[in-house]
Amino acid sequence: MIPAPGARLVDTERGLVSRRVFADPEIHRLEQQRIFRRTWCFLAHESSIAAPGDFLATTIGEDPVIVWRDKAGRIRAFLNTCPHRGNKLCLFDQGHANTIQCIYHGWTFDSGGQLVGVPFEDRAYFGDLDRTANSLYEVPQLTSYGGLVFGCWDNDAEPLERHLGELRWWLDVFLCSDDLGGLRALPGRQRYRTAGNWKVFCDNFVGDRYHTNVTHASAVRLGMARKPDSRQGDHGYFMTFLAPAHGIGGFFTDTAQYEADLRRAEAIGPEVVEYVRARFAGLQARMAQVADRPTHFSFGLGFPNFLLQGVGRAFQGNLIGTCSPRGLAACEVSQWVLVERDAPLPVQQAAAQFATRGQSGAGLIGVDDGENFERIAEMLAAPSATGLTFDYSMGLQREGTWPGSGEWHVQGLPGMIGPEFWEVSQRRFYAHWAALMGLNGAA
Amino acid sequence: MTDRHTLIHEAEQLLYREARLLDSWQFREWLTLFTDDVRYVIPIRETLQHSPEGLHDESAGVVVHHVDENLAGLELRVRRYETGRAHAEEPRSRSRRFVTNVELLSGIGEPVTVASNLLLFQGRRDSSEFLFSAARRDQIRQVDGEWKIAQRTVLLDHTMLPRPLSQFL
Repeated sequence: MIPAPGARLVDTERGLVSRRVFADPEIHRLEQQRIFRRTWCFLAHESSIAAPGDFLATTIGEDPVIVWRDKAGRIRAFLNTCPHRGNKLCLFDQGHANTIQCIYHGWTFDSGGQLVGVPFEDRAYFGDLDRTANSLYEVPQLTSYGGLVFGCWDNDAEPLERHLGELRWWLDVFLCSDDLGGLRALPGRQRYRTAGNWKVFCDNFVGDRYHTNVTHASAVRLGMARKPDSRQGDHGYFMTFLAPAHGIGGFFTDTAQYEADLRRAEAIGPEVVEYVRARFAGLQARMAQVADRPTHFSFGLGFPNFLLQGVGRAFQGNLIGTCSPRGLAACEVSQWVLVERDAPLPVQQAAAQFATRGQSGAGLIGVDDGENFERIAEMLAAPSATGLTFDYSMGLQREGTWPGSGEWHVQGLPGMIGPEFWEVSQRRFYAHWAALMGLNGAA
Repeated sequence: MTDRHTLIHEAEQLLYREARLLDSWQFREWLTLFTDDVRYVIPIRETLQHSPEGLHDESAGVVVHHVDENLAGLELRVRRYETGRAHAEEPRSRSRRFVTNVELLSGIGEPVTVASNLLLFQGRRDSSEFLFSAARRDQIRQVDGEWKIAQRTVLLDHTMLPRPLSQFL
């Protein structure tokens, strides 16, 4: 049900979000129209479909789409359905083809989405079929931002660069350079389904460091996740809100992480040392205008569902992907590992291992998040819980004036920078969501 | 030298024992079933045009898997359970491994290649029940008179994991 007049689903003044936001089938239905058909969604990295004819299958929200590089080398995206009678066209997750034929009646389409083959066309249609009216349903806006391909169903949506907003600086520095041959996606897309509304997963990525010490207590004890210090560090751990609705977290502006990487490299060999130094030099050069330079960031989310992990760290590769709804109470995570083409083999292997051991479907970190999401989903279905809220009020009175923030080394960095524990990005994620949904309670 | 019939029987017993140890949380003993140089891999399967099996070719370069561990990595995962804070398995799932179709794919000279099918039933709380189905290819060899697993490849019958995987397959 749409909320009654006066009900506030997203209360930005108090930092409260109604549980109905995660549990109401009508809201879920509206989201498919007002979020996933109106905003830019991440589709793929260009390197996954490098040559004309290369394609992969993915989703925008709950829409299965084919992302296909056409004959001219342009990347296109189409709803994965035959315009004739609706059959799903492509069952491959990845492949190469100049045309695709529907297996129902045999209509055939080229990589530009044009209908190029109709069986028995003369006998069946007597020349009456308008082929041009039967092209594949194309995602009208598609833009590559430094190799990161985004699509948007809404012709009137703002340009991608405006949607990315303050996230652009972080993407420019860490993901969109040509250093060391530029990034490429390693073969093997990790996919897993998990219980939970997609927003529960995504608001964890947009800025939740608070859960690490408890949810990931096992990983902290094994030295796989960093235990928070007793006080906020002046060089980090920092979080950042990036207008209009993105967030990243887990960066430092000293060089401790780089030095740790260098020591690890020294244990492997001179080729790897040279690589770690070269990529650090590249990062420093790109941040020349900034006084306090982060070496990496640990995680992040581009609104609505673009996932980022381990970005900029030499041995962590860069995990990028999406978390998309699968009905109200489940979602599907899909992620790739990006490495520099010229990265030495041990670095590429370390990147792949980071992806398998950590925040992934069978990783030592991801599985405990999944447990939370499953438990939350179970309790969202409890009838007595529908009138309750989720609380995102942490630091609400301190936004921009956190105690000790005058000492922080964050000069010149874009976005609103905050302490290790906060819920600013989560609050703004929901404020933006509510505004797009046209629901009351938007800031 | 053992004959083929005996070898299949011994391989079956190894795999049954392994299943029992995992289902009863005897992870330390489970670790002793592997050689020091073991590689344990759960590759990602996708529906791929160029590969009917749906596997990416590792000989062409680094490939991302669901799991890719050596013995130290398996031990790390065991230590995670031992922290008592591995929430995905606290409280423990009720797991049951059904191992079938055990077949010798090689001769009886080492390394011996054993195929088996695995169905894992995982029950958590009252309402969540999951099945993982896979074929396994194990290379086994004798160390001090005991059969050990030197290489395991778990060929999942899922493209995407149906839920986060907090169990060994």
